[in-house]
Amino acid sequence: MLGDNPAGRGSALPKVIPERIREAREARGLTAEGFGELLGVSRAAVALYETGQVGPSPDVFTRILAVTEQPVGFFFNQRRRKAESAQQPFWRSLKRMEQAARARITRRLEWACDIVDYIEAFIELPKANFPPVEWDHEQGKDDEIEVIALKLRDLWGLGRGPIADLVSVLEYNGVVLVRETVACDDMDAVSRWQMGRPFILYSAEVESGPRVNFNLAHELAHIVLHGGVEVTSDNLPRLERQANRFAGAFLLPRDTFPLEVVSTSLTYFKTLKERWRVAIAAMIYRCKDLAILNESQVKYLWRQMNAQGIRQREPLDDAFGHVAPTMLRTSLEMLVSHGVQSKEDVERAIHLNPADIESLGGIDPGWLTAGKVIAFKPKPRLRISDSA
Amino acid sequence: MIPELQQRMLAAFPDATWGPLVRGVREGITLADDVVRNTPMLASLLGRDLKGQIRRVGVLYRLQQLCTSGELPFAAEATKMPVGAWHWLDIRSGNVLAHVARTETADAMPQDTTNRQIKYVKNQYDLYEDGKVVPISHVIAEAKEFYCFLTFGTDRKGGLTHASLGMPSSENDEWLAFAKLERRAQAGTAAPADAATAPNPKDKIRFREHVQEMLADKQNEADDERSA
Repeated sequence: MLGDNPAGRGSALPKVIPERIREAREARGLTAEGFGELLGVSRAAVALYETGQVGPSPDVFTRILAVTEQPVGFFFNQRRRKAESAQQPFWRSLKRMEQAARARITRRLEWACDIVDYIEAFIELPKANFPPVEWDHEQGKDDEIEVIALKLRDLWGLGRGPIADLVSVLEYNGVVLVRETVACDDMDAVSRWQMGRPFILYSAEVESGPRVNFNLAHELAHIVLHGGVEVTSDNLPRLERQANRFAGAFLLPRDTFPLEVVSTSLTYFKTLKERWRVAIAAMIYRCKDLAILNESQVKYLWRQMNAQGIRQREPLDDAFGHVAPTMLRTSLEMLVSHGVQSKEDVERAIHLNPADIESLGGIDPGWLTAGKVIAFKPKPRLRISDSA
Repeated sequence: MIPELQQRMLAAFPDATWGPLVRGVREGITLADDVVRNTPMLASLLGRDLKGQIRRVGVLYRLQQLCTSGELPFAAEATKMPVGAWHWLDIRSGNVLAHVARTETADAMPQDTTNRQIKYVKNQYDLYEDGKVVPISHVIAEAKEFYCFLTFGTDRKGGLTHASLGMPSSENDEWLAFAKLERRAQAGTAAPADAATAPNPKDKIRFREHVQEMLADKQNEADDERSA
């Protein structure tokens, strides 16, 4: 660890916030070991930097900047958000998803929160509009989930028909949506409350509109039903089952959807998909939940879907255009176009790599940097750690 | 085409019902084709001769279901046709009665066949009562019942080619009122007519008060400079 500076002993960079080093590393999906390799230091050294026991030397810090691609200000400025103000995100599977991927996506959610925090100093965003819900996730019955889903529909004025544009509905009711490439097969979407506002980050790799709708409704369930619930590997399967039930109840209301299921053929379900914008598979599950179809009918439909090779990729998956989130994009563009903030102000105040701000805000790549001279960033070199 | 009759027809079958109407027709066709496809006898060369009839049953059945469940705000009842033992579906909205008929094209008149009987309500009225010409609006106001067709057509694969509403003339093969319905619901990727209208999140995004004031001040300064 040549050149490192024990904290408080004449360190050249005494103000680097240790937690920010960890945050930057996790946001790049790096393990401590992988990060150490890129910096040319040991894993133990990385741990020392991240806990603040030792500050990185100027040389190592330069490499941290290059590897994490974050601006200098990122490492010297505290965020207003507090860790305790955010609940644990809801992952579909704690087993399948790698820890590094979970940490990376959690950091993305936090950064989205930082962007919202910055925007809200200037702009009023739609307030979180949710009904008071009494739900016992341990004892609650499916019937109560159905009632809560309809209550939410009523509050949001959605009637009992199909929801063609769930993205706009969610944003209008105060949910912050971030759609970006997640590069993780086991994660379609994740959500949590942060600083009193619900956030959903969902995968841009999922292009099927009906599947996106279900993923969003599933996350909406966690937001409505599971705020404040601590997720464990024991209760996760139950919470997931409840979220799926809610998603079905919200997208396919029990007092209207069943009236339309008058045939059990896949061709007919395709017609229903065209109308309800929900995947055939999700509709089959819903029919099972509502006892519209019995076990044999459901099995028969699965067999048919397998035989036709449409279990993974269904007909009409690409038929409906994608609606991109607009809340963050609109707000950032408003700030700049009205001269309230310049693009430089935005970048400086949020203390994030411009590409990250653009991606999280749903803005076209290059919006922040267009016409700017890009600062030189040295490439990291790999070397054997001195302390290894 | 007579504007008063057009108005009358559209008042009985308003725009808002076109989506569910067309949906009912499409779902009925799908139901019928399912039956044909899954019944070897009907799927045979001989059985397929009945396809048109079965589609007709599918459409009438589904429309009746939608009316019964309240998704379509009409009264629907299967009644006997005037000739023979066939049935049709009376769809009533106020004093407008509609029957469903298959046609070859969107604006074609239904043909009167054994199983596609048509019943024109003739608006008998003495147009020269008291030696004066009675205005058409008066005639229409006095008529007890109006008659409409909901026409549809399909392609060989069961896709809906058209769906129309028309009020036929009692004497000539012409429409006194006519509307094409399929423009709303036939395009499968368009939002369903009864889907919740998507709100625009931008409507709720606005500058905070202090920013608005700052922007107003800036604007005033700019105006002052221009006028100076």
